[in-house]
Formats: sequence, structure tokens, C-alpha cells
Amino acid sequence: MAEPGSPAAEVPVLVDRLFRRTRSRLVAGVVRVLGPGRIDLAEDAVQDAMVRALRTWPFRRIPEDPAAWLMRTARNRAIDMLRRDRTGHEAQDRLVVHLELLASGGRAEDEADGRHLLELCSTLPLAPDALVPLVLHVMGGLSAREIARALLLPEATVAQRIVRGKRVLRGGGVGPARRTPRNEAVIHQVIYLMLTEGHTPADADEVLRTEVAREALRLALLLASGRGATPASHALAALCCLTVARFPARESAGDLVMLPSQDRSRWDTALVEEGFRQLTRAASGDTPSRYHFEAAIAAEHVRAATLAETNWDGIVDLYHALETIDPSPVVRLNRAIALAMAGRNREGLAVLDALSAEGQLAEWPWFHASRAWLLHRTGLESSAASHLWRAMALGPPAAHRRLLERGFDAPREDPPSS
Amino acid sequence: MRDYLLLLHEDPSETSRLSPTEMQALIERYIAWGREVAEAGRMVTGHKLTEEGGRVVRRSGGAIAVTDGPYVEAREIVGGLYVIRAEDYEDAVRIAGSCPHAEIGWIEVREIEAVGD
Repeated sequence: MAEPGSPAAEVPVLVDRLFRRTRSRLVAGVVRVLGPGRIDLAEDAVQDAMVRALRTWPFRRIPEDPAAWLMRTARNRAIDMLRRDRTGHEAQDRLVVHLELLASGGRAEDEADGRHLLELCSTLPLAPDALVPLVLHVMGGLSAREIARALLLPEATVAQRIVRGKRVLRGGGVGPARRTPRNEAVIHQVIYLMLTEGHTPADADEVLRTEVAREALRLALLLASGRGATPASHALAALCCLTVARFPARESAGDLVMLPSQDRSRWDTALVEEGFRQLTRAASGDTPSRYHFEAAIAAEHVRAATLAETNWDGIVDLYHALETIDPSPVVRLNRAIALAMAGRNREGLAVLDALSAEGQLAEWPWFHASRAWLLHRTGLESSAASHLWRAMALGPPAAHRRLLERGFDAPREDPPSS
Repeated sequence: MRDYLLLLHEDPSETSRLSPTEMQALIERYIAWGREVAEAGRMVTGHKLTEEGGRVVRRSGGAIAVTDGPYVEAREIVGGLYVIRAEDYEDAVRIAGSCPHAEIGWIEVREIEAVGD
């Protein structure tokens, strides 16, 4: 019996997200070997292993290699369950060999498993809003409760979508014939949705939102590291890297910090570098995707040492190009803000006036806040105040409300396009 | 100072609903708690109990009867125990209340009667 918490004991610190990662590795490994029909077995096995860790580790030391301990315990549990099932020795043996490789740190297997599961998910006849919770749960190891909190959805809705998604996953895994062709665009869309969900600040649990964005980053890099990764996959990976890289500077004492006020030295330089690497690889294609333009915009922000040095005219052009693919009001709103930042207030205001006439953003607080801000910049204070009032009346999330209440001393960041 | 027994009760179905991230966070806080209590000189010992339910021994008639137990159903188990040192019940309850176990189960606090008291 070790003395619990004896001060002399070198307590190894658990690697960040170790449990989540172990879970998704095991699930992906089991699905690769036994097929998606056995996904529950993997989930149960890993849950058991973690409960065991929870009951054991507080009383002893954390094992030397916690990841290997979890993997071994879950593997044994999975084998026990297979045996009880009488699925046959062959399946059991294959699983043992495979998980053995994973436990010994087989990075290649790990990534192949992850990609396999991601591609499997992309073949499911599910809409992205049903796929996002499924991917977050199965691949990201987030519980229904966590996903619900991050996506601002009722827990029951999320749980239902996961159950339905898993049912489809099991069915889709029966034979290759029943699968729809691999649809890369769907995976991209799911990852992109996860990134924007994770980036959108709201009243939801900020930490979990960051987790969702980080999961998007992980999946994007996984996809981009595969053989035959397309330029769009690299562009998406670049966008994820360059967006998540700015996260450390986005929050201060529980409040949102918009781009102009961010301490740029807190940006994650390793991620910035990876982002630019991915962007270079993305340049090989002939038709740019929306991710190409969005990543290029993110790159412009990250490249600038200060807000004043930002290439706003370049960003305006990029938003313009993005509009040819996605002429949504939000993209146009972003272009209007970039125009203002480039000192072209009147042009920006004209874009907003046109948007206002169309009325699609009328219920969106940020639209009115942006309009107020632009009016303020052109010296039209009284109109600015009435639009600000309008924005507040629409009930923006608390973090946004606090920003608005602070007024317009600093220009704000372009809102995440979605 | 007196010794107090903390029995860690839990409902396994609740525990298994935790997400991996929640479990990892809980373990980390658990360990930090153990270290803190030990560093304050209040930790006497701590033991994890094995996963199987245990036995109940009773004299029944003239013979010793042994049954599985003490919990018939798996709705409640005692996963572990600590012995801590505290000023009084109030102090012991304060220490127990700061243990993260209180979030996933409940803690029974009993004073161990000192010999010669």
C-alpha cells in the first residue's frame, strides 16, 4: 500500500486529454478490426478501464505510463467481452494483435485507424448537423452532456442524434456495397462546423468550445496527413491551425478579447508554423475551396505583427473571392468590416446598407453592432447609438454584451463566418 | 486530534456516465486532494477496496454463514476508505467535504474511538 499523496512521491502529471485520446484510439482500433458493428464493445471496454483508473489511482501512484495502463486494461476488458460473446478466436486474435501494436505506441496504426473511422463516418447518410455530434462523440470522446453544452443544444437532442448515428454507423459497416461513396466534402463540412462552433463565443462552456475546436484541428490534421490528401484538406487544416493558434489570446479573466486587443505574443507559434506549412501544400490545386480563402484570411491576420500592419486591402479581396463561392450575408458583413479596417468606411457602409435592405441579418445582434461601429467610425454618432441599442435589444450572449457595453474604443474582430 | 474513518460510497451507474475528460479531471483533483491532506499532516492511511463485493459473515444457528455482500445489488458500493486526523467532527466533515469523491458519490464519516478515552 502506497501512502496516498505522500509528498515525496513523484506524481506523474497526466497528459492533457489523455483519457479522451485513449478512448478515441481504442474505439477507432476496434472499429477497424471488428467493424463498426462492435463500436459499443469498444466504448464499454474503455469506460470500464477508466472507471477502474478512477477507483484505483487516487490510492496509489499514477502508473509510470498511464496511457499504456489504460490501453492494456481496456484491451483486456474488450477481449473478455468478446470471449463472452463467442465471436470466435480469429476476431479475438486479430484484435489482440492490433491493440498490442497500438499500446506499444504504434503511431502509424493509430492514424490509420483514425482516418478509417473518419472516412467511415463520411459515408453515412446523415446530415452534417447529425454527423457533428456523432463525430464529436465517437472520435472525440465527448459525452452527450458535453456536446450539448458546447453546441447549445438540449442534451436529449444530442443523445438522440448520437444513438441514431451509431445505428446508421452499424448498418453502414455491414459491407462496402452498402456504403455511399466516400464524400470528402461532408467530412470537410463537419470539421468546419466543429471549428466554427468551437470558435463562436457564447454563454456556453468556453473550455468545451475550445475542446470542440481542438478536436476539429486534430481531425483536420489527421485527414491532411493521409495519402492522397486533397488541396482542400490542407487548406482546411491550415484554417484550423491558424484559428486555434489565436485561442490563447482570446480570453482574459473570463472575458472575450477581440483581435485588436489581443496579446499577439500569446499566439501558439507551433500551430502558426503548421498552418503555413499546410497552406503551402494547399496551393497545388486548380480550383480553390472556400477553406483556401478563409485560411488565407486567417494567415493575413497571423502574419501581421500589429493590427495596424494588417493587410486589410488584401483581406477585402479575399472576402470578395470567398463571396464567389459563398455569397452569404455573413461573408459580406465580414467584407464590410475589412473595408472599414482598410479605411474604406463608405464602401463598407454601402455593403451594410445593401444587407440591411435584404433583411436576412435583421435578427442578428452582430449585424447591428457592426453597423453601429461603422457609423461611429464615419462620425455618425446618433445613428450609431440607435443601432447599438438595436443590437442590445436582440439579446446578444453575455460575453458579447459586455464587449458592446464597453463601447467602441477599439475596433472589433471580424465575427466568425458560418 | 482524533482519527476519523471516511468510507467512500458510490453508485456505479453514476460513475460510468462520466465522460473521459470528466474522469481524468476527477482523478487529478482526487490526487491533489490526497496530497494536500497528507501535507497538512492529516492523512493516516487510505485503501482502495477490491472490485468484488466482499463477504458477510454471520452466525446463524450454531454455524457460521457466509454470504456475498454486503450489497445485494450493484447500486451502491464502497470503493475505498481513508483514515484522517481531525480536531472534531466538524473539522473531519470539512476535510471530507473537500474530497472530490463527494461529487460522484457520498462519504460516510465515522469517528474512531481512541483507546483510553
